[in-house]
Amino acid sequence: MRVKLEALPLDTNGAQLLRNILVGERSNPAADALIAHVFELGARYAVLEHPYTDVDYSADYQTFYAVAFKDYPRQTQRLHLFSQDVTDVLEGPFEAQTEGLKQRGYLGFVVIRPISQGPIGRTVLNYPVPDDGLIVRRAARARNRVHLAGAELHVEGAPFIQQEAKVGACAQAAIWMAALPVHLRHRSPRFTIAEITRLAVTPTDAVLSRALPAGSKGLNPAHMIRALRGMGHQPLFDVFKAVGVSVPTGYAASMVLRYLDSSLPVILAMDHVGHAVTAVGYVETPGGALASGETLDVFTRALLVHDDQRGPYRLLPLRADDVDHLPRSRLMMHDDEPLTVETAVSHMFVPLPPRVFLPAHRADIIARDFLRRQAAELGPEIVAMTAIASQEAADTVERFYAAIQQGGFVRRTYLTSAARYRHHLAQSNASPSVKLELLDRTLPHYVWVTELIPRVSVAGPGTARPIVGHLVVNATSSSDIDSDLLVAHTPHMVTHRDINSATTTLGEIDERAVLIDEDHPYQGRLRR
Amino acid sequence: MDEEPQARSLKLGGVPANTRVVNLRELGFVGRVSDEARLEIEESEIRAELVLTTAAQFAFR
Repeated sequence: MRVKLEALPLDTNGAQLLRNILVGERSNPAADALIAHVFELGARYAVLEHPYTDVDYSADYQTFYAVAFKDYPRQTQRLHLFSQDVTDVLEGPFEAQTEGLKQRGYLGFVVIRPISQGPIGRTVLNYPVPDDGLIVRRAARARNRVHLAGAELHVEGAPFIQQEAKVGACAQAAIWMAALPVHLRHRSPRFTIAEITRLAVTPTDAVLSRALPAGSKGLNPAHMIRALRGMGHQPLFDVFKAVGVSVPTGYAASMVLRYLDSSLPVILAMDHVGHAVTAVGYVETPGGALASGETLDVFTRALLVHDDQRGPYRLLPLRADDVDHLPRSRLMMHDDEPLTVETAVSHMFVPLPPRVFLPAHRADIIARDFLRRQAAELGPEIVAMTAIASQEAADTVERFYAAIQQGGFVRRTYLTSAARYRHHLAQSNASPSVKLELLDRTLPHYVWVTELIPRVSVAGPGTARPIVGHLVVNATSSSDIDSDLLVAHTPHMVTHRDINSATTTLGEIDERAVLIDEDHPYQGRLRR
Repeated sequence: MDEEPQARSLKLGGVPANTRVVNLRELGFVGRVSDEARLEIEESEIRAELVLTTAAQFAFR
């Protein structure tokens, strides 16, 4: 058998052509959204590759379809999308194809399964590029290597898949969409939907067994946690809506964004629609704060969400006020009304790396608490000591402490490795004297970094917001809360908290501040 | 006769060391977490545990 490649120019009838290939005459909102997305990306040409052996469908096939009485094909098709005609490249010399195809704008691929109820298999497409000034932060992006004939192609996107209803429901699809980017970025084990279902339903219970096959009609939060743990993640979870639960306005968005901003996809569940989706990025305003509050959500309009029923890269606005600032065609809708994080998200689940034991909100509270305490208890003394070298610096420090007490800064808290933290700090335009204090500190493998951003600030697609300081919290801690904070850079001062000091008595932390003469705001970490 | 090779400590960054050091403990400040912050963390952890006790109320499909 030979692999066939068919060329498909996507001209005026291109959308209908793609629809026929994907779903035929059937109604499928996810397919319609996917087609609209690829045309927004600028798709002008497609290549259909068949047969294609897909690892995820092969697992589904082995689990269910191979033993069904009805015959199901064992192979899939794979659709590759380009922004230009590629026929001359593919019909030209093999050795020139990799470079030639790269020049024609590869936009990604869609695996098409031979099952009518869920034909969209593993799909990786570029993130959307908004044209209305908003900034897309591609939090859960992963680099995918693709081979077409002998050519190697790359696409950087968030993997999407549709549930196929026999081996898994939306919850398994959402877990798969969250776990695959982590696998691609961090080389953690890879799991198919069939394997996710097996982990979620073992041991089984009465709720799971109401559906045949067990687990095919949905999972509850306990099953999802079980699956994530079985996959080797620390399953971090939270609930924002349930009987006896109430959280302040903006709380759910701030919780979700800390993990997304750490390049970790977040599974979101919406109890009133009985559905789970995966947040894979967020949309930021280029200007100042949009709402009251001191966390990253004040700069954010929406989450970018993969919804197996509504399609890839949908927008879930944070607040009702954000709806009119976003393209309506991408909004998550239910009964003709836009869903928002504030009204719809009831649970979140995060596939944390195995060595992270401190949740983001705890790191954020610790950073906030330290700053407020230092401002209240030590502010005037630090100002006076700074003034010995420079009155201008002392005025800056005084204004900083006043702003801390009035909630004048936005805290951006994200997880990173110590190595990446040092790399970004070294490359930044922070004062060399500040770098000198921070870059040779011993740190645990994972740290939470809290950046301090002025509420009035500007961001761009290629630039992060300026920051006036940052704090580093031990992400691998799990016992003594007082030893979580390791270091804090505030204007003209670096506070070191050495929890392993040889000079203090047992249990005491060596707490010293170094006053910095040359200091200025600098760029925060850029999440492209 | 060759001289013994000598290790030399590197001075990183190309800038002079910062010399103005303040012992915060001597100023009466230690960076321990306040009772209010501890309570806030505890409350959020108790709330998160409701995911499990309320799990049977939900099904995501």
